[in-house]
Amino acid sequence: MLQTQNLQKIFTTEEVETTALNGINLEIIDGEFVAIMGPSGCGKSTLLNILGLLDSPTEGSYNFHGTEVAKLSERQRARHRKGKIGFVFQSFNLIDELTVFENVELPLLYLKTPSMERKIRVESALERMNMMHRRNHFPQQLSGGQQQRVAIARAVVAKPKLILADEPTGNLDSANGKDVMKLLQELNNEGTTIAMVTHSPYDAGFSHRIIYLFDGKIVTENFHV
Amino acid sequence: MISNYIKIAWRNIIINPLYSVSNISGLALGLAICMLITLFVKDELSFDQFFTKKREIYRLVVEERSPEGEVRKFGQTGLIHGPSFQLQASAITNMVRYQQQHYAIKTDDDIVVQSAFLVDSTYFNMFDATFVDGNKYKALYDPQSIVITKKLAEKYFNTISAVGKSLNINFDEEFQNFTVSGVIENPPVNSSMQAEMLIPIHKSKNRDNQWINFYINTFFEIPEGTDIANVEKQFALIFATDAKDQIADAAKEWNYKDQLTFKLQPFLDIHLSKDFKAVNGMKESGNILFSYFLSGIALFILLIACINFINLAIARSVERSKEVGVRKAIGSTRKQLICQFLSESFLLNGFAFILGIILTYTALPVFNQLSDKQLDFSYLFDAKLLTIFIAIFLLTGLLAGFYPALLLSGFNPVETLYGRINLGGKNLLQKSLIVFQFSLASFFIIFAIVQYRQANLFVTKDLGYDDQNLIEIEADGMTLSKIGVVENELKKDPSVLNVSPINPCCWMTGVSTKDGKEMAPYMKVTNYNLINTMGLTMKEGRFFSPDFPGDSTQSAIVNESFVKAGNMKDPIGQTIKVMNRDNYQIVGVVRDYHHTSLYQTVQPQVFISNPQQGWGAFLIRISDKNIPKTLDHIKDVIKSQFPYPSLQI
Ligand SMILES: Nc1ncnc2c1ncn2[C@@H]1O[C@H](COP(=O)(O)OP(=O)(O)O)[C@@H](O)[C@H]1O
Ligand SMILES: [Mg+2]
Repeated sequence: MLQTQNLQKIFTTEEVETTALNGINLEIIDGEFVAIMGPSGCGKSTLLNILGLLDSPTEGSYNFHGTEVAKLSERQRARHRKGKIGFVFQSFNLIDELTVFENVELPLLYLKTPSMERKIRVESALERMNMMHRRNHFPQQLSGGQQQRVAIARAVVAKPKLILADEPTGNLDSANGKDVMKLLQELNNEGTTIAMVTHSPYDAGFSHRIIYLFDGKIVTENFHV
Repeated sequence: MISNYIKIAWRNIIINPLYSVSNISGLALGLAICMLITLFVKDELSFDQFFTKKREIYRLVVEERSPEGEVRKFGQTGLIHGPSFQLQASAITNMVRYQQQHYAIKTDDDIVVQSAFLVDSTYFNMFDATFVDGNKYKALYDPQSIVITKKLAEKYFNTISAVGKSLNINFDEEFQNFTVSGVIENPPVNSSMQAEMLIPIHKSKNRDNQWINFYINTFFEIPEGTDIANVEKQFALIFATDAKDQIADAAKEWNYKDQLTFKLQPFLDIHLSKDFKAVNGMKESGNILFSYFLSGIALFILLIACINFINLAIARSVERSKEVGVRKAIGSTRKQLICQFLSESFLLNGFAFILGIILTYTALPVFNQLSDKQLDFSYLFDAKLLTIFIAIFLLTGLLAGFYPALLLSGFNPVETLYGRINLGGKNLLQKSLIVFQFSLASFFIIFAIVQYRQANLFVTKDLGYDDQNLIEIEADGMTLSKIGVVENELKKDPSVLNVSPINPCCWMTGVSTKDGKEMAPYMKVTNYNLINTMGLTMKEGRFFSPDFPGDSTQSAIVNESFVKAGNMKDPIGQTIKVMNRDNYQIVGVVRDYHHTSLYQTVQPQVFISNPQQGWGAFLIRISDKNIPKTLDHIKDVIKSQFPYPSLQI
């Protein structure tokens, strides 16, 4: 699925230079479920964004699906990630002005999926997340757990090979968090590769492998199973 | 996708009512002002454009050059010029004289005053008019025929099929029946030719053959491609031979030495001309510079509205940044985001446009009143203007929407999704736009103040006399005894404070001083009472007085400007010669007052009270109480003394 070599990311602002990633060598294979852990500020989100082609590394190589993408422009990265990667964020990041249905439909619109097929796929994704009854609600009318389920529906509706989740349960109570983890596990069982940042050992327990980051470096890798 | 953009745009408008309302109303106001100004300018520029022969019609105009090099310009000629030139200059294919008169018309229960135009019978061959009744080519053939507009037909006959019906008109001093031979559409508002009633000029007994007397409009039709300068040269020759005797007489009789040059003014130039103005019943001239100036203002206002739009959009962009990040993460390209934000600005713009149109529509009556025009809303819907408005729509949409779209779509998704976006210091453009907007706004405030003071000048500038509650009424055949009767009758109403006979506005005359200096001052023929009626003040000497019965034939009053222009040291007691004929002694000098346009410095003026010169109007001072009643009283008195007047109130 993906492979990085000596990945570095340095943020330069007016005052300071921050080395967020410092030589990351990481491989994730198809169908794997990887959890990324580590203290706040150690570079977890940065790594996830680079893996998700939202950002580019300062240094190093990144092979995604057989293509070297480290040096691609923003437009090229956008083309590469379209339909192949789904994102789930801690703060849900739904668009407030769109209904549940329209939020989930959005990735398909950008993929120019015909409207009949769009309807079928959005409905099946919502049914699966148990959110069909809320399809015409706006995000602000939903609880946090419901919003995150909609966000997951949106992440999976285009049937991406890779789902990247940045603290998906961070804003949820434990019951809702557990629901979300179960959904992710189900998706993984169906073959979707998942990389998830988390602070919770319980959540990490759903993964095949845990990577610990510290100061932009991988310090340990733990395999269970 | 587009429908999705529009959906989002619409919901954004709904969700942020304050933002939307301020944005839309700002733009709508700018657009409405723009539309009104466009209407105004279009009206100015489209004047007379619909005449088929607009490029073949010329007006005969005159330049009068004094030996001192002073040039006076007249848009008018006498009766004789048109036929004489037409007869001898072969390039002229048609000639129409156009002279405004006022006639009393006897209706069943009243006498009304009606403006009418004496025209040559070929009028309709030159100027287009749509006949709703009657035949265009025969209409003005019979001397006893008249052509009227639909409006007048309805007024006098309650029908537009008025051909064959007759009107009783006081023409050449007697009431006669004229038969309607044609009914035409009311003239378009943007036409110089606003005649509502046309009478064949050959009906008139006036056979004035004066070459040095200018009071009517004369139009020539000359085929395109003709060498106009050459025709003007022919005019000079014709004038030199035909007017030779009259010029010689004038030189002998009143020392006339001026040089006359006849010129052709293209018809389309008349409305906006400063030199040869639209006069004698032609619709008054506008000012082309003013139109350009207004257009500039319209663009500026639109620019301000756009900048306002941009600033508000930028201010809101932080709120929208998360959406940008999400959309990018989900698969949107930058181009798609630009499209989205552009369609939003176009939607807002569209609402602003609709609101702007509504505003224009509602403000039009007030605007018409302010600008003294009759702009019609339907004016907006012509192909050219529609194109302009669509262009303005696209331009404002792009201008106002493009920069915010570019800015928003350029946000880095990683930064926006993690709330790291910070527009605080770095948006130089927004800062400079705000500064620019502020400066423009200040400029407009200053400009408005200047304009206001300018306009106020006319209202509050000391004219040198009291112009409030002063009425001028024209009346024909005024004699000393009739004036006495009128004054007595009028004064029965205590609200009538003073009455003076005067001559109607703006006669000029020739005057020579004792040092032999030639002048052309304005002349007021009046009586001793004018000083009270107008509220004039004397600088030295005295005004006419009933205690000096000789005043009417021996005395003259001049104004300060006259004294200055004549280089007179001790004006009182000096003798001046008026029209190279009558000698008057100056008995007083009045303080200058504005008797011509405020734009001009006060011109030299001479007052005499000689009944031989003829008056022609009453100047009446009334109190400001009970004005309608007083006006009725005045009307009744004048009507009783001048039953068939060509009076104008
Ligand atoms: N856009 C950015 N600009 C500047 N510094 C950044 C940016 N994003 C992250 N950083 C810095 O990089 C480091 C790693 O951040 P992040 O990957 O968000 O950590 P984590 O997700 O592990 O808490 C932090 O020190 C953070 O301040
Ligand atoms: Mg993080």
